[in-house]
Amino acid sequence: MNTPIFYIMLLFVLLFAVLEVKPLIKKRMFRELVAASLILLLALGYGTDLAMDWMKLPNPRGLITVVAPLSQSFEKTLQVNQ
Amino acid sequence: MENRPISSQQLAAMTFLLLIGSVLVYVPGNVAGQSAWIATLLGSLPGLLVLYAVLKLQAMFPEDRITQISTRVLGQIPGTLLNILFYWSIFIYAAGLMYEIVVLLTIIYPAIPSPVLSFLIILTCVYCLYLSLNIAGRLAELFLWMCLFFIIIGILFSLPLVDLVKLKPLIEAWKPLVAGTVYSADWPFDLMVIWGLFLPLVSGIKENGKKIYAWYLISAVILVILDLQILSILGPESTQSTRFPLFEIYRLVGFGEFRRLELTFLVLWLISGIAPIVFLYQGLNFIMQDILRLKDYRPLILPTGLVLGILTLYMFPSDMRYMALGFKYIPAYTFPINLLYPTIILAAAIIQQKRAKAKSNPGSAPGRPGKTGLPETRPR
Repeated sequence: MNTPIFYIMLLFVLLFAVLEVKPLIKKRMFRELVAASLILLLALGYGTDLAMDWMKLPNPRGLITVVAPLSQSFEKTLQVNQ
Repeated sequence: MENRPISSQQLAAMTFLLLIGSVLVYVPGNVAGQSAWIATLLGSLPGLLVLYAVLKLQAMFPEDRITQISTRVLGQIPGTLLNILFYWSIFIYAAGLMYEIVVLLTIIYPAIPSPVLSFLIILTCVYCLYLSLNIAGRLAELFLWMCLFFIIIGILFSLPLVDLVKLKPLIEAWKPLVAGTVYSADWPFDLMVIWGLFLPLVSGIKENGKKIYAWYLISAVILVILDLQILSILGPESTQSTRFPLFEIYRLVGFGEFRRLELTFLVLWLISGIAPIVFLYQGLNFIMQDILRLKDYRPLILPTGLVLGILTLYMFPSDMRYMALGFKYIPAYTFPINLLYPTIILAAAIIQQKRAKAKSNPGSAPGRPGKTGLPETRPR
């Protein structure tokens, strides 16, 4: 288990709660509050997955490897040697 | 006086830090071997096109960010789709740079776990962004000369190690040179697209736009000189195989018993490494604000920082994974996106403007023979 990640996530959640939640509710900016909370939840989900070493969630790396065929043909054509 | 937090002089300094900071850990176009410096020189041309496109768009829509212009000229759905692709491209850049800086810091501070180092950088950026965007501009203005000083000192100190024979033959093959040009255009020169998000916050851009071009060209020349320095000291093979070539050179530099000068240059890495992360991170906040149509970006600062830190660790668990993705696949995605995104929007904006002009002066548009019966503008 990767303990520092849990402490880091806790710190970010606390900072968000202290710095953002109250002013957003006061200004009635609920759209901003929901959007920010959803992004935070996404980060917490991936953070827990990483800290517990489950690796169950889809890796965003897959969005990069989509272009692998294009990249390979480029390297083949231009004789890239890395 | 305009109420814009960044001056054009500060944006010029930010341009320098963005370009130099993005490549201190890497030689752009190193696949071109000893011709990497030529690849870097040629690679700066597409970046110039990107810079021209974002500045031109700014002149046409002075109050809007490029992500807002995108939905305005292309329509809500195509514009948002392009913005999402752009977000992912900037996210990959930010994550890649984060990873590089963390690896470098792990070499210097091996006892500190990489998640802690990574979030120390993010918390520094969060602090900077919470203070205001003016801080990012002032940071750049303040550190510009310090960075230049360290770069010049580094070049002068390493002059005795230079062996120009390692640069020969000048152009061995043109195909790797083309590949190197594409890679160096992608990273760092196409990063200029990020200014499309900051320009509405910059004052005096009309009068001092040349300063930005000037600092872009100065940065390109410095990058070429750094490439020449690295290649002529380490040679093309070692440059490709060394993790941080410039850091390696500063390790070799010394006078007699006086060694370990690389630690003197650490300040250069810390300043110019963190500055581009601040700009890219703020860019991510702006894009997300426009995709979700939020009134303010500030609530996104902390969640985006956490996502950036966590996903960097998630996507790049090891150097091997990063090397495979970073050098092979990432440019195939980011290069076309960052080159075409501003170009498509500029083309669409020019077409839209011409149509609007033709609509407002229907008599002035030259009519084509044989088409007199057709309406002058197509219905949407």
